[in-house]
Amino acid sequence: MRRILLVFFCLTFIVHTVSAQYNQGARLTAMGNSSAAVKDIWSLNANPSGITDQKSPIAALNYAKYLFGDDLSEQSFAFVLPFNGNFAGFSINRYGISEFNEIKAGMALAKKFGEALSIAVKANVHQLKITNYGASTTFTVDVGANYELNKQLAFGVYVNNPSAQKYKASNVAAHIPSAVHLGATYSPSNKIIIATTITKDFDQKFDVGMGIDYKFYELLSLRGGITAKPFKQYFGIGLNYQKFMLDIAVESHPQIGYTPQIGLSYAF
Amino acid sequence: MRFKLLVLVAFLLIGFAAKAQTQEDQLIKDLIESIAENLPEDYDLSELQDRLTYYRKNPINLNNTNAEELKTLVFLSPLQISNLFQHIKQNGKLIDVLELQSIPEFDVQTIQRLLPFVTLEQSTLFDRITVKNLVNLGNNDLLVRYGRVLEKSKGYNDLPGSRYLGTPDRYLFRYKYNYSNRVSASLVFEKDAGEYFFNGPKQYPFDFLSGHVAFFNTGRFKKVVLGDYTMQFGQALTLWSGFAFGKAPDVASVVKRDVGLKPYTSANEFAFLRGAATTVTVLKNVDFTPFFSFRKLDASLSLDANGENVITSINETGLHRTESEIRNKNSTEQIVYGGVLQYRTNALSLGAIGYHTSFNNAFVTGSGLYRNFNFTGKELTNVGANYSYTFKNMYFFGEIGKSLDAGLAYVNGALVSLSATVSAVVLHRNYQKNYHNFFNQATAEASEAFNEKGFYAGLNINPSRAWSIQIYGDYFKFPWLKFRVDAPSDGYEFLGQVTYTPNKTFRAILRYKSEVKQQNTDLTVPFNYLDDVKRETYRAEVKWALNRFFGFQNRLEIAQYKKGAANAEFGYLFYQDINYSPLSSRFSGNLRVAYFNTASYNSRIYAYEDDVLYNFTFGLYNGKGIRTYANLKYRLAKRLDLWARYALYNYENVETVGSSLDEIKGSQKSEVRLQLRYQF
Repeated sequence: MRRILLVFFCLTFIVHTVSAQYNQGARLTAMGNSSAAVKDIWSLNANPSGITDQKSPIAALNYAKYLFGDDLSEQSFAFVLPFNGNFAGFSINRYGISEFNEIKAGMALAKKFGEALSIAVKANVHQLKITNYGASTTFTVDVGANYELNKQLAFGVYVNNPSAQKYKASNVAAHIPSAVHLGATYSPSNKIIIATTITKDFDQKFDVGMGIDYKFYELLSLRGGITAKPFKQYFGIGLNYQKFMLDIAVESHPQIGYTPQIGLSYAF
Repeated sequence: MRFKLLVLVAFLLIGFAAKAQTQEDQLIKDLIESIAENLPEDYDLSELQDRLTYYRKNPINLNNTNAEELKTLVFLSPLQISNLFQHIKQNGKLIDVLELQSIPEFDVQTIQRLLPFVTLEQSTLFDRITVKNLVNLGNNDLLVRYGRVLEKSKGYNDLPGSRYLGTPDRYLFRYKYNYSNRVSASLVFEKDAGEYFFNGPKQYPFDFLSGHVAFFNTGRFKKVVLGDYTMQFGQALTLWSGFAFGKAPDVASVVKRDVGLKPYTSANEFAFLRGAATTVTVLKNVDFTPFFSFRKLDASLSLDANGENVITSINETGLHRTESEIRNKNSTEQIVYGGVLQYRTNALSLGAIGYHTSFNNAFVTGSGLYRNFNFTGKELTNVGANYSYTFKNMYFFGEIGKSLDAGLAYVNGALVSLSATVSAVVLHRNYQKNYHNFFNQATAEASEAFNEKGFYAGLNINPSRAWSIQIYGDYFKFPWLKFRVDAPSDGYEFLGQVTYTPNKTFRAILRYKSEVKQQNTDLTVPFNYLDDVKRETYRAEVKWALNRFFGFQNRLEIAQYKKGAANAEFGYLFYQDINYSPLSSRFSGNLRVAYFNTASYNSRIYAYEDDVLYNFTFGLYNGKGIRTYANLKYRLAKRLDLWARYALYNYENVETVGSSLDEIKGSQKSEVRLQLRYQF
């Protein structure tokens, strides 16, 4: 019974209201997922054109734990490879418990047009698996663009699943979000990024998010963010040590409570 | 009709205005106005205006001041103050005010605001206390104010039950004396509308009487106050009487400016202590402030099972108009005594507070489960500790308070200057449901800081001189029930504001504020469940100067209120202000015409209103109609100023205005105010 309740909870709360987007890694999450114009390896799960800042191949792992469930978690892996001014990316997310899980895996291709403009597309395969119930798959596309107006201001836009693809099995209630995200970043110095993103999910009201990343020391970054619908607060810290980056984030939801996550990346 | 006439008269007067002296008050008025826009709606600015007027005449010497004094200039952030002292410590005394520009955090606006109130010169005034000096060099300030609502309200009729026993006139008399930074004294009388004027019951001879005598900087005694005073320490969690800033568009306002012991000269009848207090320097950097207060409070009493008087509630309004209000007047004695120890260096400040509060009648919890953890009994002891510490570009602050045998509360925060253009504030608070304290003004969502947990984060971004952006978000939880909230609840508040000031004569502001809280459903159900209550306001405002004489301000504000599944209701306010203030004229004046239309009290709108000097009004715009007012100032003689104000609410489609005893027949409520100030 408890499991069934949990599955119900996952479906209603997480998939439908919280997860208008897939996990964007601990850094972007700590900034309130206000990631439309932020550049990060985890832009793969947000605005894929944000991967064009990487100088060398980079790999990252992320783990988020939902505290209201015994083993409910989300695991993610991302990899970006720069080549000849182009960028290839691969990411995979698994979310759920053993009886219920959803996987999103995708390949992205991003290209820089001059110094300011980047454009990317990403193709995803989604799989939803429920024990004793079956599995269902589908394909979606994400597209995104990023434009750096000057050193301080940048703008980004991306669309998830513009063709509103659904799972093939018609009796599955799980929903793949279709949303437009529009964002900007303001970096008054090289220590600070203030980011904001407006999200319009086709089936929901507007959501607005705002986040900040402050490089406190060369080694340490502090982050925070809020989103409006529902009202969530986010905090995080990042540790930079040579080629390693360790990021920790906590998301606070008025009903669900705290969701901690941790991410590790390595730039080759 | 009356309104048209008024406009005509106002314009005529303005037209005849002659050129005369410069207006020293205009500067302060503008500053206060810009600060008021960013303050909570109930803040009492008269005290601030008093202070600024004083500093205008007796500027603070930046080379010989302390953090306590600078904190009274509310537009300075703690980080700026700390950086100033750091700068002086490293580079020696300031030689030119231009040096301020080189101090981190001092932007152009701050410096412009600061300059009128500071100096670098050592005061040439010979400030020894002698009779001759007190007489010849003291400043006297005498203020008399009269006000009255012109329409007769129900309470003044000869009703059989409760009615107002006095006249509808309001009087204020205030005398202030000040000699350099050594001696101050004040005397205040006040009569509110509906109270007896002279020698009424429990009056000797006026309804409210307040005064003080204070000596400053006498040897080890930094301050000695006899009479009425306020105590403001730390983050307002343990000991703070009087008003404190809270959440406001100026995101740094959650950081309290503790100014310690201060004489009380305001006409508010509740927020002060009465007795004696002193601040003594006991060691280098260590101050001790012992205090004692004995005063009477207005409490409604009832008899308990043993036939003894018990307090059911304390009335803070200071109104003594009806028989029952007069019966409750001064019905309970309050004795407060204790001490505060403070250690201060440039970067670090630490404080410890302990005091005891007692009453001659006992408090009872009263009915309602939500009051279950309220204070009961006659005696309460509070202790607390506070700190602030500046490290590089960060200012940390916090306080912990404990009521003995009851709850604990703490608040911690940081103000961080992230870059030259961005600063951030974070504040975490946790006030237990049984944290009892009668002098608690800590930052909170609720009006009193107990039964609340929360986290506040704000950003202040000034990307260029012309643009300024403020944003804050606050999430709060009430672990225990509240009035009209029959379960633990939570909520959040968000504010965003953009200000565009391309030049000195134009300013535009856009503001959005949203607040969600929970409250019992309006439906009749066996057990109340909670509904979300959402209140959103949108504001757009422009202020511009036509020329050196005329300034205009327009505002549109829309409020939206939605509770549970019910339909949203709306209210809006639009106003036009005209300000006439030539630099060299005996006359100055301003005028507002506002149209408002709100669906109900829930979608009401507040707006700051100009008033006679030292009186501050946040107008309440509720219902449908026109609001208009006009203020005039006339300089009768060199030291004699006259203010006059006429204000009118004209509601549409109503038969009465106001409720219960304040009810007025008809659709209008108008008020006049006259004020005379003589400085000698």
